[in-house]
Amino acid sequence: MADPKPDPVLPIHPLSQGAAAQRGKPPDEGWSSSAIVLGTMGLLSTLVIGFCAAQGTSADQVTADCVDLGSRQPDGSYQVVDDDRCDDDHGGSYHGSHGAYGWYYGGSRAAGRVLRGTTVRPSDAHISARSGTVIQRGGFGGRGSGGS
Amino acid sequence: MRREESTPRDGWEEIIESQGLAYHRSAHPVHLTRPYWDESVHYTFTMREVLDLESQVEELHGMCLEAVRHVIAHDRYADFAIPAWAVPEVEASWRRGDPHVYGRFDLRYDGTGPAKLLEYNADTPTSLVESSLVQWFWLKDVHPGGDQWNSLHERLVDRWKELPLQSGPAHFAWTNMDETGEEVMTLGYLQETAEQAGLTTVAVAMEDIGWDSRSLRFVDMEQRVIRTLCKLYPWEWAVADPFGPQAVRQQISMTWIEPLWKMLLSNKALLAVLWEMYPGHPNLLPAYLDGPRDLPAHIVKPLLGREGASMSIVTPGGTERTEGGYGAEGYVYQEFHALPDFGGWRPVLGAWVVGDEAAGLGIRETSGLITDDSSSFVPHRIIP
Repeated sequence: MADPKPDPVLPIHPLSQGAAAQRGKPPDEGWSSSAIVLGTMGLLSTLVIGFCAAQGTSADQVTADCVDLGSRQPDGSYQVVDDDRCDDDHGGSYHGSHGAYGWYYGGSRAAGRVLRGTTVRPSDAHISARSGTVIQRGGFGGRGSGGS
Repeated sequence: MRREESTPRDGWEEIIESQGLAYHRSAHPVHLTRPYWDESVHYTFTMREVLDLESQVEELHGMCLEAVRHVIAHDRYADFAIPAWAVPEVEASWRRGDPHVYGRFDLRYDGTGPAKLLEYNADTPTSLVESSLVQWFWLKDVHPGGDQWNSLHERLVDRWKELPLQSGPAHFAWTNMDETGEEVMTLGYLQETAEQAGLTTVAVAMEDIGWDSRSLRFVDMEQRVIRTLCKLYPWEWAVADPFGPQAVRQQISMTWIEPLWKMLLSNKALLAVLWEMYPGHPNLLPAYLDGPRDLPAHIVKPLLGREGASMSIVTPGGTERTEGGYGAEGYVYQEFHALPDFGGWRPVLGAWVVGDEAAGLGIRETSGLITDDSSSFVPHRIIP
């Protein structure tokens, strides 16, 4: 079964690959008005330029939902189930009482169902499951860039 | 204040990119012939002008803090479109004195009269990298003995040092939606200044922030509790997000930079409140919430608009509008004074405040009357 993990050939966001961890400590002399310590700004800048260039040529981010493939309704929507059901380490995708569970890519999710996506894994995309059990994620964002 | 032409440094693009201006192409509309960073011109100021501006900026900042007190004392939240459920926490954030780091005033100034306040970007100010770093290195390269109104870097480092933060790393949150790199670089730079102040920092995407419903804390991707969160994500968006109620309720247990009470400054209703409190003040333009009243020419600004969008300039000669989808939250009507004309370009001064002190200047120029995403950043220097 297809694996929802990110495709490693696609650009990794510069801040997500530990740019912060690579930051050096400031030199002992500190900063004065005649000597700003640039730190890792140059490195980060190079990563960002590369990231922006790569983004322009690569596919979109695609979200994967684990669905009950036997639950297809006339409108084409599927019932979303726990991501665990689609994980490879749960012994494959064929279990459950009425059919198969599988990843459903790029769908729109509403009220526990998902539609307008595909069960065919997109070949050139960064795929991530919505996931989350006790810890919910995704409660911020999705509105654009907020600087002013 | 003068506008001077100057020769760009050889290889200036590589130079500014190496200093952090990764987004000078990506954040700038591609059809424009003028680059975003334009060092073929710069502005000069006398020390006298800079000292005058500095005191005006600090006076304005003080008036803005008074305005926050006023809004809270007179229950003016509806004018700022603050949802009623968030009001007690906005007030508590102010009463506790939740710490703030920085902001940027946009000012109309032509070198002759007092600066006039156009808005206060007190929550998510950008153009920080070019203001603090890129124009400083330009000065050192092109006018090695010269001076500049710019102590942003050292003041940011000092500000991080004096903040009363909880233990554990400070988190710096960018959003996945920023395709230009501007937000990443701005947060990367803030993170750099915090590191230079001795803090341990971690980057996280706003979208990746998790809510642990057992411990009632926000956590990062490694399940570490987020105790300090520096964001460039406007509060009015965070409040309206699914995690908004948690974010607002948890203010007491964590530090957000900027703090929740800045919702009362990064909102153009502030302009009208200031005019009510300080009518006729030389640094203010008349502004009203209920309509243009008797203003012969006025500009209509959405309370929470960004990048000059959704504005209308109404003059006896006609109306000029900018595109945009802002304004459902309401508008402010401010007297219209055209930005000054310097050689066919119109500068707006971005005057920085760190802590409660004036800390530097960044200038953006447009050909039109409204400073939007087509503007170019130009450096400045102080002449003896």
